[in-house]
This record gives sequence, C-alpha cells and structure tokens, in this order.
Amino acid sequence: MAMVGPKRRKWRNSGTVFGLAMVTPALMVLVFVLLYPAFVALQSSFYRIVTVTRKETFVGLHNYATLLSDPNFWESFQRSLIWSVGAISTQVVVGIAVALVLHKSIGGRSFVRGLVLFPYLVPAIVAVLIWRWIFSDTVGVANWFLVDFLGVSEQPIPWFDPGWVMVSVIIMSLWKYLPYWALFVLARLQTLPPDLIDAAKIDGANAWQRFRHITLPWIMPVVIVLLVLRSIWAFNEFDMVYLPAGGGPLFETTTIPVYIRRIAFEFGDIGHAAAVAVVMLVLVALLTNFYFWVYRRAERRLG
Amino acid sequence: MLDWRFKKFRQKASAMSLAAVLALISGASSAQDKKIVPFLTAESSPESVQAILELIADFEEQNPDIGIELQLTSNDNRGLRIINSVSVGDELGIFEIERRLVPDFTRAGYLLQLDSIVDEIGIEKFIPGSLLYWPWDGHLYQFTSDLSAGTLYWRKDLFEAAGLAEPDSFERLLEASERLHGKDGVSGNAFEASNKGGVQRFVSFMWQNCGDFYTKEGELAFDRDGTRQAVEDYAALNKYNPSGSHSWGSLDPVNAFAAGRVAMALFPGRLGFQIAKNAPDIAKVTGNREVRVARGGKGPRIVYGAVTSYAIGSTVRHPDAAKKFLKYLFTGEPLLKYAMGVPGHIAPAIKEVQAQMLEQDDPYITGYRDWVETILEATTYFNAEAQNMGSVKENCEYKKSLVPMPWSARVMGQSPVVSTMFQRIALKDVPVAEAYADAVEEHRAQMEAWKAENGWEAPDPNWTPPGME
Repeated sequence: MAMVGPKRRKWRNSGTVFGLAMVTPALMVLVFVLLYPAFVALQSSFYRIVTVTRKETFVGLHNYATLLSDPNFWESFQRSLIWSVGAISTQVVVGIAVALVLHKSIGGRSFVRGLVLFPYLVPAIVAVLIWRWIFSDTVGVANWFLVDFLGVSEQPIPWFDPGWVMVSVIIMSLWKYLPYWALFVLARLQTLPPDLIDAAKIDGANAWQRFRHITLPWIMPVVIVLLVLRSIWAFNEFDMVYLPAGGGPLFETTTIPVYIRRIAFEFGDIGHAAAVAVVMLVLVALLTNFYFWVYRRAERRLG
Repeated sequence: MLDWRFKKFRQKASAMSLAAVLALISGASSAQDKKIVPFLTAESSPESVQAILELIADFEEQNPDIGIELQLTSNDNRGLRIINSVSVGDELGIFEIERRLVPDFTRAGYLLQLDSIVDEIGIEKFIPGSLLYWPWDGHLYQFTSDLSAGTLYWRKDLFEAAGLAEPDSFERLLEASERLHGKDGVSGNAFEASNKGGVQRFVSFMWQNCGDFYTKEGELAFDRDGTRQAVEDYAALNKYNPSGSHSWGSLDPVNAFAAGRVAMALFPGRLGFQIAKNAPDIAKVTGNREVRVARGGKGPRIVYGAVTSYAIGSTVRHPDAAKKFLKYLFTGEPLLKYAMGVPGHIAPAIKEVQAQMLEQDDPYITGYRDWVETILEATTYFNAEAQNMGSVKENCEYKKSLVPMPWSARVMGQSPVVSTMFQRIALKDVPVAEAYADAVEEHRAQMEAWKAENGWEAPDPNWTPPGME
C-alpha cells in the first residue's frame, strides 16, 4: 500500500486538484480556440503564404515593413476609426434614448420591447438587403420620403456615393445593433431605486438634472462594458461594412477587416493578411485597455 | 416496487438503444454501399435550384448506387469555401469553379481531367469556344454547364417619343442618353461603373474598339489606342447613369430597368426574363438587340459574356460517379430542363439543346422568342475577359484564346481597376486621361507583381483549342 505523505495529502485536500479539474475544460477551449489560432496568425505573418496552394516562404519582418509603409493600410485604418467611432457614438446615444423611453410606463410596453428586439434577430445579410432597397437611388423609399414627401431635400441623396456611403453603413449598423444597447441599458435602469429619483424630484431637480446626476452615473458601468464589447466588434466588423457596398466605391468602405480579405483572397497572400490581422489585434488590445481604465474610473466615481 | 420499475425501465432503454445502434449500423452500411458525390453550386434562382433538385432525384432513381449531396453556396462565398476545402483536405466533389481559381487549381493538380466526358458526347456538338481547354497541356479540367451573353435592352416607347433611332452605335447611345436623361425620373442608361458591373459593361466597348487588357502572351494591351477610345466613350455615357449606380449590386440594373428608371441597359438574359415576369408593362415597350457600341457601329462582333463551368476535385472518392452525374446534368434533356429555369439567361453550350429550347411551349419563349434568339446567337461570339486573355488583336481580329488571365483576381477582384478608374472620373472629377493613365500603370504593375511572385510561361502560340480548328 502506497504511503501518502502529509504534504501531498494537504495539497490534495486543499481543493487544488478539484480547482484544476474545473478549470481545465475552459483552459483547453482557451488554448485551442483562442491562443492557438492567434499563434498561427502570428507565425503566418512571418511568411509569404500563397492562399490557394499554401506554399510558404519565410520572409521575416517583410510583411510588417510592407504594411507600415503601405498607404492603403493607413487609409483602411483611418476608415476603421471613422466607422467605429461613428457606429458606436450613434448607437450609444440612440440606444440610451430608446432605453429611457422603454423604461417609461407606456401602453403596450411589453409589445414595444419585443418589437425593439427584432432588428437584432435579423441576419446581417437580410438587414443589408432591406437597407439597400430603402436607400436605392432608383426604387428606394428613403429618397422618396425626403424629397417627395417631406420636401427637405431638393435632390435625391446619393446614399452610396463617397461621402455618403459610410453614413449609410453607420445608419444600417445603428438599426441592427440598437436593440442590443437598448435592452442592456434598460435592464440596468430597472435596478435604479425609485427613491433616488423621488428624492431628487422633491429637491427640485429637473428632468435633465435627474438624468445627468442620477440616471447616467447609474447606467455608466453597463454603458462602459457595452462600449468595450461593441468597439471591439465594430473594429472587427466585416459583414455590416462589406455587404452594403463591397468595400467601395473608391474603397470608401474598405476598413481593416475588408482590407485583410482583399489581401488574402484577391492578392492571394495569407501571410501579409495575417500581419495586418496581428497589427489589428494589437490596436484592439490597446483600445480595450483604454476602456478598462475609463471603466475603473467610472466604478470608483460610483463608489 | 421501485426496483421492479427500474428494471423495466432499464430493459426498455436497452432495447431502444439496441434498436438505435442497429438502425445506425444498417444506415451506415447502406450509405457505404452508395457512392456519395458532393455537388456544390452557387446557383441561387429558385427556379434553377428546383430544377437541379428534380434532376438529382431523377438521376438517383436511374442510378441507385450513386447519391448526390447538394450543397448550396453564395457567389461571394464560393471561392472561399473551395479554398478552405482544399486547405483542410476535405473531399471536393463536383463544384462550380470560380474563374480566378482555375489557373492556380489546375496548376496545383487539384482538378480531375474531364476530356472523357466530351469524347463521349462529341466535341462537334458544343458551341465553338465554349469548352475551356487548358492551353498549357491541352486537357479539359472544367466542364461547361452553360453560357451567358449580354444584349442591349432599350425602351422603344421613350425612343419613339423622342424621335430617336435604334441604339446601334456609340453615337446613337450617347444621343439617346443625353436626350432621355432626367425626364420623368428616367436616367439615360445603366452602363454603370459599379465594382462588378463596371467591367462587365465596359469590356464590350473595349473589344469593339479593338482593345484588350493583355495579350495572350501575357503582355499589356490596355495601353492600346482602341482601349483609350473605349474609356473615353464609356466615361461619356457614364454621366447619364442613375446617381448611386457606382455602388450597384449585380441585380440593381434589372431592378432599375423593371422600375422604368433607365432607358437602356446592357445585361445578360436575366433582365429580359425578369421584366417579362415582374414588369410586363415595361417588357411590352422594350426592345432587345445585339450590342453595337463602337463609333459608327463598326468594330468586331464581340460582346461580354461568361462560361459557367464545373470541375471535379482530384481528391473525389468516386470519380466515375462524379463524371457520370456531371455528364447527365449538363447534356440532353436535363440540360434543357436546367436551362428552362431562367430561359435566355442560362444558355446551353450544346447546339442541339439550344435549338430545343426555342421549341418549348413556355410563355417567355413564345412571348419573347426574338429576345431569346438574339441572346443565343450572342453566345456564338461572346468573350469573357478573365477566361480568354488577349482574344482581340490590335488589328481587330477576334479569336477566343482560352488563355485564362492568371492575375485576374488582382485586377478584377472586388474593386476592379477599370471600375475604380470610372469611379474616379465620375465621382472625383479626375480627368479621363489621368484616370486612364493610372489604370494602365496599375494593370501593368499588378501583372508584373504576379509574374514576379509566381512565374509566367506563355502557352504554345501554335496551339489551337479543340473544336476551334
């Protein structure tokens, strides 16, 4: 019979083994689903890899040197920033506004809340097809509404021309992701103690002051978390940016993910595409760190 | 009591498990008996998909030992899916091959030789130039399912009201575009500069002006005078498009024409079929004719078109079964049934089936027989930019080269150089000469970059493709 020493017994009883057993599945998922592909991307970025044949040639830092001196990369980066800031800022403002409306005691509230979720359930391709039709210059209702019905514009708006196309894509994204914001913010709003609002009312605070000093700080932690998540997604977003105009016209919707696709599947170089992806990963990591810094500050202020 | 119930439950559960295992085993063994062939297509029209499903059922009934596993994909995803299958060593059965993948896939040995299918049918039965033999070894690695070719649709009522003549030359196209543009919300034409459509519409102008992108020896031809002339002419017509046409998707010209918003459109057969079905009032006042877009209506008889073809992966588990199905699907009665899914848009590559098509008792064929005839005739002289590099010589001689353009993904991918050129002219007011000069250099640079990375050897100049002697 094997003897178990006191040290080993102590280690076994301390729950470490159980803890490790519990963590292992998640750790394996992390390693195989996240770390391994990230490692492959990093490794690939040092090679020239022909997309179709997978023929590899080691090129060292050449891919990085090329992309950093490539104006197309920097233009795509700039567009990614415009897209991300545009999409997120509109979503946060309209999302909070819709959540505030849904928080009110209005007739048919449950029905409206269910309805609000609808765009989020629609697949991206369907959402884009709907909006392409709405914005169509020949048969679309958007221009009919603005020009013929409201008369606010004399000329039809060229929704897909450079200068407008990014606005169109941001509107499409707002429609698609608004429910996401509205529902999370609404959930947080419902935990807001009514006493706080009542006390503020008794103290004479107007609606704006109540929103500014009570509601906004209360929902801020959720807003920050959503900002972090949506910013990462927006920066990586491919379908909602690519599908409306295929990266064009004149590359106006070629953000970094669209640019990566172009390098990989038009120029047939997976290695170079991987280098762009790695740089993007670093940029997103920096952005996330910034958000968490803001988040910690918001948490501290809320006490 | 509890113990007795548990025993009973255990007996029942064991019996059910055994039955399930036996069913699985028998199912697996019957699946093993059948030769399963994956079949990937990007066909999206409901009529064609329905026709394919019925044909698969017929084939499986005639060949009980073969099973066809239909996989549908989108046009955009097709290439990616095929590349991924190759990367992970997945079995590639029969698949609709994207033009840009043909050179790399053939060179890499990913495709099965299909000469035997044509040998069994007889090459003389095919429209000359419709079978894409590989010029470097003379074998066939992709089997043509159908052809498509562009024709010109024009609003006869608007032309007649304005006293305009039939658009049979660049001058008449321009005059009609100028005079009809902006009246009652109608744009002069739908010769747009969108990413995909820009190339498809422009090439007819280029070829009829005796220009081309490259020669079949792999030298630049985009700097020819004929190409420059075509660029100037197309840019002039571009001013009379609907305002947002630079971002049009592939079916937007059809929608615009069906909605009565454009006076002319250059499009394959789908436009005619769609307006006849969904906008009969527009169809009644629409004319359809051969595309003549050079000055004075001169120049060689060429129009843009495409060959849709299917390949079989060299890793296919049942090559004979795959070939048998491919031959079945795209010849004789099945091909006719498939082509009748969207008559005129899907033009069979077999002459006999084309003739049978015109005899069908179909409302579109009987109502618009002249349109379908014009389209089918166009399949005898159409050209495809990425499939026939350098088919048009500077002296205006035209003969399909069957030499694929290996760097087509670089110059005609998601943002083709030609479309970008026209977009710069139209949207950024870049002078035509400057935009054209930049496009010439871009075509040259991309070709040279591809050659430097992959190496290039022109095919034997004396090789004549089978069936085109």
